[in-house]
Amino acid sequence: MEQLKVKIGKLILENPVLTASGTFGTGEEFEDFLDLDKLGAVVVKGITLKPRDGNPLPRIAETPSGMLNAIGLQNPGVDIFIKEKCPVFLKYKVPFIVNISGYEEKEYGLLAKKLETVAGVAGIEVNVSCPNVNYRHGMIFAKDPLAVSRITRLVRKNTKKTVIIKLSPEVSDIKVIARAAEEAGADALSLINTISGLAVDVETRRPKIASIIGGLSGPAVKPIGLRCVWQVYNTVKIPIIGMGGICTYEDALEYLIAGAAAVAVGTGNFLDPQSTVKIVDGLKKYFILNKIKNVAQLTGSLRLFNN
Amino acid sequence: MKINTTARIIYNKQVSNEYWNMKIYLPQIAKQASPGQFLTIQTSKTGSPLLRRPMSIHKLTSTSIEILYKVRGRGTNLLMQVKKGEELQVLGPLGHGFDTDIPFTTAILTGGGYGIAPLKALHDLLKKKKKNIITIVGARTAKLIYKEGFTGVRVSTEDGTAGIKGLLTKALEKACCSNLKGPAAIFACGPDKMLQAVAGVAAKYGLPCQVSLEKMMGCGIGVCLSCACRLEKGGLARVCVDGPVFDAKEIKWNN
Repeated sequence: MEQLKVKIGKLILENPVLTASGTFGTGEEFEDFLDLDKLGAVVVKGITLKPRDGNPLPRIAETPSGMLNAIGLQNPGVDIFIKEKCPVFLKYKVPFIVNISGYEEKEYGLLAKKLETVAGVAGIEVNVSCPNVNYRHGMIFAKDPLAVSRITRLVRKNTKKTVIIKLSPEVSDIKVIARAAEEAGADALSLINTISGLAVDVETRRPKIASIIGGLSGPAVKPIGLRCVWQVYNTVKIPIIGMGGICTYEDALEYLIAGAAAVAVGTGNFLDPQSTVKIVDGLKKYFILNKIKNVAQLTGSLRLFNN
Repeated sequence: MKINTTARIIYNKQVSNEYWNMKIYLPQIAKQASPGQFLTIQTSKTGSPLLRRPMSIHKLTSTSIEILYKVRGRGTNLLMQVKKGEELQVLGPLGHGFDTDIPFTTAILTGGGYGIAPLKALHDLLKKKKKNIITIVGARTAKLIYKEGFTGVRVSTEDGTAGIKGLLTKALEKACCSNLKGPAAIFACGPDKMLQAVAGVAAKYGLPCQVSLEKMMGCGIGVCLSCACRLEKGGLARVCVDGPVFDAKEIKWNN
């Protein structure tokens, strides 16, 4: 459906529904449930320069309307990923966006460079905001506008592919961070990453996940995601991919109206592996029923009260 | 092929003071499923609790699947209230099950507490394959024992309220020492500590041993990497897709 097409950086997506990194593997795990080509884009599980075993177990806990996770970026490392996973991307029409994480700033540049020549990789989502990784200098990059700026420039310098910077809501002013990424050359922003949290088992008095603190996701974080999207929409010109608690097409619409150009489904994939395609179908019906000509007509169309 | 479907409940009843048994009409999933595989079930339509609950296949017919569950928290509390004729969202068959094509004539099924659940479907398949079956059912105390429909049952309780007193491995060793007909194999399910002990007994008697692991899961289809387990050869496996059944020798147990 033509009305659903959106442009993110250099990419024209068939529709504004993406998958959130870390909740969709590399897509092949969902082949029994849906046709990947029906999606706007597939954002694959995060990769790092070297292989990572991830965090100790337990890594996940259920919380009210959400879940905490501290997987810790378990992945085979970029070289094996390029060799074993990327060739599969060529089987599909849907663009594949690779999510990258670095432990040090320079690793982002190296990762972008390695992926630059890989066919089938349409874009790079830069994760500067994983709450479950011990960064070299202790603080997640997403909290520091200068670090976000340097990393964005570094990635930009090493790739012509679409660059998306994924930000954390856990900052004193997300507008400042978003602007830093935009000015440094980001094509788009992903908002939001998970929010760090804690859950306690009262019988054992242990944290419910071994790394103590994990990232909260699911419907519990949706209002925070929407708030960030709205604030950033009013600050930058580049498109925003909104995410955080999207399970239904109504959730997706909320994000579009708040200012997102596209959305990504994360935890929703665990609740219903077909939620992405159901959201696409729901949006189609909504667009027809409400005679909406394109996604841009909805993006940021929040009607304010005039008191 | 994994199927995500809406399924009708044939019955849902309490079968002991601890366990409930639900029979679900699932023709498409049942015809592909094998013992040791599992389903995930959405226990709430309102998203509370949020995640699906993994449930092993307890019994299998050509059109239906039964699960055996203990009411432990909010999810199973909601499950308990589901009535005949109502519908649930079910995903399956998931994971890979027991390998019954290995050479053996006697099967020693070893279930600790709730771990007995997947062994019934395996038991029924092995009956059809004309294998000799010994079933060791262990639990902390007598009221946690569930052995309905099993044959060759030997009970063991930690407090001695039923059967052999002590850990289930004591009963297992006794079985291993007895006059087994032909080559034997162990198939076990239960908590990690028990499985580790069972693996130890299997190694001692040189018997092949398959274990079905229980782990907290997020997605059940291999993408969230929550249910990782360490392997002896190095690296990690995903219990939901690489298991839940593993050769006991593959697992690197936590000490």
